[in-house]
Amino acid sequence: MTTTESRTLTYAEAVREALSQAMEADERVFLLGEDVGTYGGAFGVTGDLVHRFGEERVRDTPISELGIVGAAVGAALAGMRPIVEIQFSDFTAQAMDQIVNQAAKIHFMLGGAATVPMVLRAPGGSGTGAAAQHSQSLEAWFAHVPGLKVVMPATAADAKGLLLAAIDDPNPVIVLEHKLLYKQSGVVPQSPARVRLGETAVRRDGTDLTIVATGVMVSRALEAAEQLAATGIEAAVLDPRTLRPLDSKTIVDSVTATGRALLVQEAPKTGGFMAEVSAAIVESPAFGHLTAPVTRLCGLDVPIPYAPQLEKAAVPQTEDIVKAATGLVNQW
Amino acid sequence: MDLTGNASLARETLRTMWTIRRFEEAVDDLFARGLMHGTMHLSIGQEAVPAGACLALADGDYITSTHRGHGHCIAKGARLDAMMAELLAKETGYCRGRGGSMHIADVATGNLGANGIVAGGVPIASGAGLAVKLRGGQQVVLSFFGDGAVNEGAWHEGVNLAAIWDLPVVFVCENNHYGMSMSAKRAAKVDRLGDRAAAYGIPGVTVDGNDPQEVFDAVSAAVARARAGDGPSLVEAMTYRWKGHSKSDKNLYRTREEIESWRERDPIVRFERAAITAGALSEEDAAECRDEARDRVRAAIRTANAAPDASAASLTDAVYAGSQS
Amino acid sequence: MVAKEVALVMPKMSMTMTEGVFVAWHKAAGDRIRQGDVVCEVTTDKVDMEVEATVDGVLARLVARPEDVIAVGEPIAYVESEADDLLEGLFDAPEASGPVPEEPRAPEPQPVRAAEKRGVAAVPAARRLAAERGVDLAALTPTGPWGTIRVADLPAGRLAKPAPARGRAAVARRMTPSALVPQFVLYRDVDLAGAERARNGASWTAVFVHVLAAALRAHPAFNASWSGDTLVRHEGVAVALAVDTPRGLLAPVLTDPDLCGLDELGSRVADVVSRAKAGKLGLAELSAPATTTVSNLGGLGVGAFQALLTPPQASALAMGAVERKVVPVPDGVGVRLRCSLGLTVDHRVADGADGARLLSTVQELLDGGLV
Repeated sequence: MTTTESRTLTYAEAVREALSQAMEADERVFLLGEDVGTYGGAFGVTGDLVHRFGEERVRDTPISELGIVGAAVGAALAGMRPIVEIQFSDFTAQAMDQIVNQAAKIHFMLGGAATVPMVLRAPGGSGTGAAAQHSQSLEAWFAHVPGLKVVMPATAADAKGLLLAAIDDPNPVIVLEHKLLYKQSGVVPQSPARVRLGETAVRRDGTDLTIVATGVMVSRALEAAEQLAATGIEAAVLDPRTLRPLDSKTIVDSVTATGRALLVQEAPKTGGFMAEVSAAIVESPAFGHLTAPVTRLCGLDVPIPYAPQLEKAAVPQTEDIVKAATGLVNQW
Repeated sequence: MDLTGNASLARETLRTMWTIRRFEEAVDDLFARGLMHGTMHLSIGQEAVPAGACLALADGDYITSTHRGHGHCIAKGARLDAMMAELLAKETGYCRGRGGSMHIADVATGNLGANGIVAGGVPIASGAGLAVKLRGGQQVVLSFFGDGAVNEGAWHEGVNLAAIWDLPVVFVCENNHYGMSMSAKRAAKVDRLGDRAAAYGIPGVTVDGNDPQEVFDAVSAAVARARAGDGPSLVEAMTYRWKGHSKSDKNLYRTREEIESWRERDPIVRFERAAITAGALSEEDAAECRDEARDRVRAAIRTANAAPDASAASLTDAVYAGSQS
Repeated sequence: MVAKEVALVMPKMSMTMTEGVFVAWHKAAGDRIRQGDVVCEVTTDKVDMEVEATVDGVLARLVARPEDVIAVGEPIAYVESEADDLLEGLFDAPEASGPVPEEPRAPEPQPVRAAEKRGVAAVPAARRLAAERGVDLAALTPTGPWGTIRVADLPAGRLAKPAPARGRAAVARRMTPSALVPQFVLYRDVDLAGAERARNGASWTAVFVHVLAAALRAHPAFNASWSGDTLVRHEGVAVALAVDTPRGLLAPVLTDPDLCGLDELGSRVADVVSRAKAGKLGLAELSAPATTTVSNLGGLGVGAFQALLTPPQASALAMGAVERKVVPVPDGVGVRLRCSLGLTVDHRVADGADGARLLSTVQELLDGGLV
């Protein structure tokens, strides 16, 4: 194990460090998006990068999501490594043709003759009172499209390591950050170490049940696991990190050992990504080891409401995870 | 019609502008004290646009609004208490606490809704215009949007549809110089966004958006064309927002001097002086408009604050219309 | 128009901001300011932000100083102003920010009862184990939801896979740090004749929880923890009770058990032990901070033993079996009801003699009718 300098950074700073190290290392890498320059990004992620790399490589754009993503697709096809910031993941809806019908399919349609090595970063999730058009968790849309890779970093270290791996990748990668995580701090290596795409992280070991969680739900699941441990329930907590390609083997192995799976996502239940995880478990050799139904704990099937008390009620909180896990273990 | 010369029009215009100003100052204060959730986009400094534009509309006409929509709402006649209740996350708010500032709609007064998606309301306005045309109605649809919206695909598509089908729509661009931090000058190659109309074969003008009279005149002419079946128009109103884009704006993209120079051109103060000079209003009349605005805003806060908080018990209702839940 | 003092508050400047750090004034007391003027600078989330005056007037008093951390809505200065207060002081109540009361969560949809179907409902693991052991599923009584056979409904047999040791990890996490604590043990046989007359049906466990708590209250130096390099004294006494359950060792906490009567404590202890065994303890009872622990292995035939400290607790009491023992009495030997106690003590908190004195107090309390 080589030692590497680490220090504490916020998730947003970790993203910025990945961007700047990639730009230093490879002149093909450039950023474009709304307010990424002088303003420093709507969530302050790009910060001072415009002063370090100039307006050509940290490119402010008009409000034109479809045009921005299309420009990235074209630049990637022509040999660059563009990184797009879409200000809120909800606004990807305006760029969907370029993401789904162009970026995802060009490599395949051309029989492998061209690649589209681009990254699209966007903050998702609720919790800030930004209401229905600025708070969605849309990962399942993207994970459903062959040709796209989808990443959801849950820690500062992964925000850096997964983004660097996404930049290296010859395919279009959607990196869905969470706006509640931007200010959370964690230990982040100084070196531009990559976190390989497609590896589920075991955040905590446990014997009684397996909790699989994504995005901001990972830290809530870990808090819940602490509380569960005090009552004698040992929960394993797994963080897929990459939704596509999904490392289901790590999940299946864990569920085989514990016999129970609780799948937690912020996005609404119907058609959500955890349905995919559930099916992956049930279709695997873990099936014969199940001592309980595979159970999903998800956001309600509602648009995210504005009022704080409604917003809280719309998505799983730590105590909901504790309750669901306790029921799963005690009833089954 | 002469807004500064006619006593009742002058009073109405002034009252509307002061009400918008006071409402937003109160909202700003509530947010600053941590009493308001989410985020806010304030239009302080831009009051002349909604005041002048909505004065040119008749009852039954529609508007579509934006994330910076408090002024449009108020000028179209929305209830202040229901607006304030929405911002305070109350069950009595326009959206029962589900929408917040960015999504207030008041279908009763023809306001089809504020929209958090820039240019989202533009094709919707064309669609409402299509409905009017299909029904053989006389209503007009006025679509408010900012300078930031004119480079969205939805804007071009919505304007083009209204143009080719001669729909009764008035497109009003509130050019406040910045789309969040992007200068309108850097976001478009044309000097005047009003000139974009030519590309769609419709009339376009650029007016002083800090003068309710100029806005009123341009929008009135466009409304008359629309009602006569002559199709849509584009009105660009030049104005300025004094406050940041939303709540965490460090104003790095503009200078304090620039903000100050526009504060000197306060549309409300300017109109007040003009109306007094023209003899339409006395100093006392102007003070009365101010007091009335203050009292209405205070009453709205009192009423809204006393209302019950939005309840999570019925959160999943109204995701679908009808009996399905 | 009357000039009055208007508070200029630490403004909330982002969706998630709850406090700001004051950086510097750009205006001085006595300066005339206009609404929108930048009056000072604050830092929030590592970003410097300019604060604008909310009203026209004269900056009367500066409250905030550089480096001050100020909650959103708290005053940073006062402005002499003639401006109308649009909020009419409605929100000037002491509560600076209004947390929204917790609402009940929207009701979860109830699972629909599975339709009756032929065959036996069983979880996959139960089906697999039944096949391995030649058990007829139809002959079993289901206890799971929807009338489903759970693994627990199978007759005990050779377990196909060793059941994970329940709660071992929790014990490991809790007790490993104990190895870092310098601890010693004092043994003393206590006489229970007086307590036997006074206990009135309460269990011996309840009796010792009661007297240990009272003794700690009489020796406050023991009701403490060593933290870093200082002694932290605890206000109240809270006794964790080690309970052997099917889930492994659980230690529910009884706060101030010496402040209620022994009858009441007896039923409290009985209740908590039965709920611990049934897995029905609340999170609060398990996670409340304890200042000592009582373990009783007498029921399992243990005569005397040494308990380990559970950091940060500074003491632990181990009870052996309560039994009649032959003991020397004046003029010969007699038979007395006795119990061997082991008192484990954190040496950083107290010395051997202190522990001996604590045990003497325990004996006095037992003799003194448990008052």
